Parts: sequence; structure tokens; C-alpha cells
Amino acid sequence: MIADTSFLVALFIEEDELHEKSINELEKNKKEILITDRILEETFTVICYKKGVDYALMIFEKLKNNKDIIFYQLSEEEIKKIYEIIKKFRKKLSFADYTVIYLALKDNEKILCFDEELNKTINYRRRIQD
Amino acid sequence: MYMVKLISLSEEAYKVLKQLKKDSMSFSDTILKHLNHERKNKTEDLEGLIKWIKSIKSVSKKEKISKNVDEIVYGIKR
Repeated sequence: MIADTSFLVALFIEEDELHEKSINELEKNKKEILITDRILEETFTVICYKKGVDYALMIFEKLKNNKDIIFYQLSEEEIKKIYEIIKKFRKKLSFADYTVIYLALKDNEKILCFDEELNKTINYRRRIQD
Repeated sequence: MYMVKLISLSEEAYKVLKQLKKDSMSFSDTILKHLNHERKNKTEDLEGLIKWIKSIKSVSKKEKISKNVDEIVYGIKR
């Protein structure tokens, strides 16, 4: 499974209206979660601004020590491919979102995401790929 | 019977692997050994993470959290 920032933020910020939903999703699918370096940066930044740097660091440690969480570092070659996807899709999404799109389409993995635009884009592209 | 697989490595990766590899080990053994070692150092799993998230809960107001940092920094969505 590939996690997006919207899911991770909802999971770790209990004030988020999707907090319970994110826990339920995780309880339903206890499989390995892949987090790209860009998603990790984006998540850290949002949590840091909303809950403070100490909490953001604690979350980072929690993720780092979890054997079911895989941090995925994008190679230069993959970043080039992501640029190509951006040029092709032309959707107003963050670069981090595009890293999720890239992996979701490449590996046909389930995504943990509450961003409607991102879900719509991935589902549409999967349909036309089939 | 042995299965032979050809893989390509960068020069840098080859150098690192060669340093870690013992004479009795293949390159695949070396990669697996170090991957497993890395994994063993990780003590938690998803079950534990869910329990931890539930344990830190307090009573707070629900709100829509934006992931757009600019909006958070400049308070546009407050």
C-alpha cells in the first residue's frame, strides 16, 4: 500500500475530521505501507506546523522504527519519469502527489489517500491503462 | 541446481557490496543479510502503531486539516 500525505496527516492529527476513518483503513488493511521521501517531507511539514516540531519528530521516529513502514527513496531516473507524468497529466497536484501517482500506476498498489483529485486521477489512469 | 540471474549494479553499489561481502557469501546473501539486519532493528509493527495512536487521543474539536503548507503558514483556511 502507498500512503499519501492526506492519509498520514489524518492518522497522526486527531483533530482531523478524517482521523477515525484513517485508523479504520489501517485496521482493515494491515499490510506494509510505502511512503515516498517526498510524502514524508510533506507530512513532516504539515504535522510540524499543526502540532509542533517535537510531535513531528516523534511521528518520524515512530515510522522509522516500524517494520511495516518502508521509506522509499526515489532515484534520479524515477524523478525524470515523474516529470514526464506531470507533463502528460497536467493536473494541479503537488510533486509529492505525483510520486504517489507514479508508484500506484507502476506497481498497481492500493493507495491510502483522502485527496479526491488524486484518487480520481489514479482511478482514471488505471481504467485507461486496462 | 543453481539459478543464475543477471543484475546490473552501479559502480558505487558494487564497491559497497564488495566491502560488506564475506568470501563464503554471494552478493545476494550480502544484500539479504543487511536487509534483515536493518529490519530486525525495527521493533514496532502496524498493530502497535494503531494502539499507540489510540492511546494518545485526547478530547479535541474536529477540523478539516489542509496539507497546503502556505495555507497553514499564512492562515488562509482558519
